[in-house]
Amino acid sequence: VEPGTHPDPNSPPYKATELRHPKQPLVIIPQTLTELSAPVYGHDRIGPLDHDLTAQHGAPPVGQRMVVSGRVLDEDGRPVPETLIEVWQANAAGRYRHKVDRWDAPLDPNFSGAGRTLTDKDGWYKFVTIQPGAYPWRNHDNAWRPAHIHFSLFGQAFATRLVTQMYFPGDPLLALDPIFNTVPDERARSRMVSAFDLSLTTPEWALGYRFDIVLRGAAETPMESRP
Amino acid sequence: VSTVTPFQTVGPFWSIGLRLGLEPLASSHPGVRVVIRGRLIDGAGAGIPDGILEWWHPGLPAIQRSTTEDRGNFVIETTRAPHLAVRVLGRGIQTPYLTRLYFADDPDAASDAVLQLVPEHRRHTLLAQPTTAGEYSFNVVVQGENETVFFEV
Repeated sequence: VEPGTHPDPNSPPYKATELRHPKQPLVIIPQTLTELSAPVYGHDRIGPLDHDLTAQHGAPPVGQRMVVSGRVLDEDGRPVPETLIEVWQANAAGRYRHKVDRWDAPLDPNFSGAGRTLTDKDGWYKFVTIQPGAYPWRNHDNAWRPAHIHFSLFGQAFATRLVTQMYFPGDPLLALDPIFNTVPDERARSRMVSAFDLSLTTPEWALGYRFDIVLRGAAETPMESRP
Repeated sequence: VSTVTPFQTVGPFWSIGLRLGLEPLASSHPGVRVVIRGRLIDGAGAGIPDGILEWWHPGLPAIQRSTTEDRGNFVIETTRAPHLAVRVLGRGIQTPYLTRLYFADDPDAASDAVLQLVPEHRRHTLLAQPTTAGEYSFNVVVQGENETVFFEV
C-alpha cells in the first residue's frame, strides 16, 4: 500500500483518536492460514430488499432518490465476487436512527439507513437509497460532517477487511472535515469521493453515483503454522 | 493494478449497519465452547463503550462479532482454537486494529511462530487467562500501560 493511503491512527484534528491510538509499534507478522482463510456469511442471510434502503418500510423515505453502484476490485485489478457489503447512513435531514444521535433534526419513520448486499460474480454491487444530509458534530467549534455513506467490506480473507466512507463530488464541507482529511494523500482522498454517473441514473426516478472500491490483496501462500 | 481505497472510522453509529455475525454460534456447530470476558480500554484507562470486536479462526463458519457495553465490557463466545484473530473497530479508531488471542493454558502457545515474533515482555497481552471452567479473561488495551500488541499483517 502506498504511503499516505490510510489515516494515521493518531490524528489530533480528529479528537477521538487521542486516547484510542496505540503508542507502541505494530508488530509485523506474515499472513498465516488464519489471515488467508475466507469466511463469508451465508448468502441466505441477505434479504431481497436489503440493498434497497427506500423499500424497507410502508412508504418511501423523504429525500433525493439515488442509485449507488460500482465495482469491488483487488489491488491487482481482479473483481472480488460474492463479497458482503454493509452500508449505513443518515437520513435526508442528516439524522441517524441511533440512540446516541441527539441532533435536533427529524427522524424519518420510513428510513432505517442500513443496507447490505453481495457483489456479483464480476464484483459489481448496487444500492438504492436517498441522499444523506450533512450534520453537525462536536469535534470542534461549528464542525459539520460532509454527506457520506459508511461502507464495510470483507473481501476474500480476514486481512482484506475495509471500512470506509463514500463522499459526494463537489461537497464544500470536504475541505473542512478532519475525518476525510486524516488521509494524507490527496489522490487517496479522491478515491473516497463518488462520481455522478448519468448511465446509472434511472429516467423519471433516481440519480446515479458510481463508487468503485479497491481492497488490498492477500498473499498467495500462507506461512507455515499450527492449524 | 489498482490503488486501495482508504480506511475511515466506523464512527459512533456503526450498530445501524454492522448487524451480521452478532448472534451466538449455532449450538450444533462442532468444537469446544469457550467464553472470553474482557474490557476494551482507552489511554485514560476508561472503557470504550462504542467499540466492536470481530474474531475469526478457521474452525468457525464465518467471522463473529461482539460489541462493547457502556463500560467497555465485551463477551466473546466461540470455540476453542490455537488462537483467534481479533480485530477492533470503533469511533476514533481510524484503521482496524489487528491482534490475536492465545490461551494461556495451551502448552503449545509459547512455541507459536507468530507469538515468537512478539517481544517477550509484551507477549502476556495476547494471552487469555483461565478464570472458571471454560471461561477466560482477556482485555484489549488500545493505549497505555499493558498496551495490547497490534499487528501489521
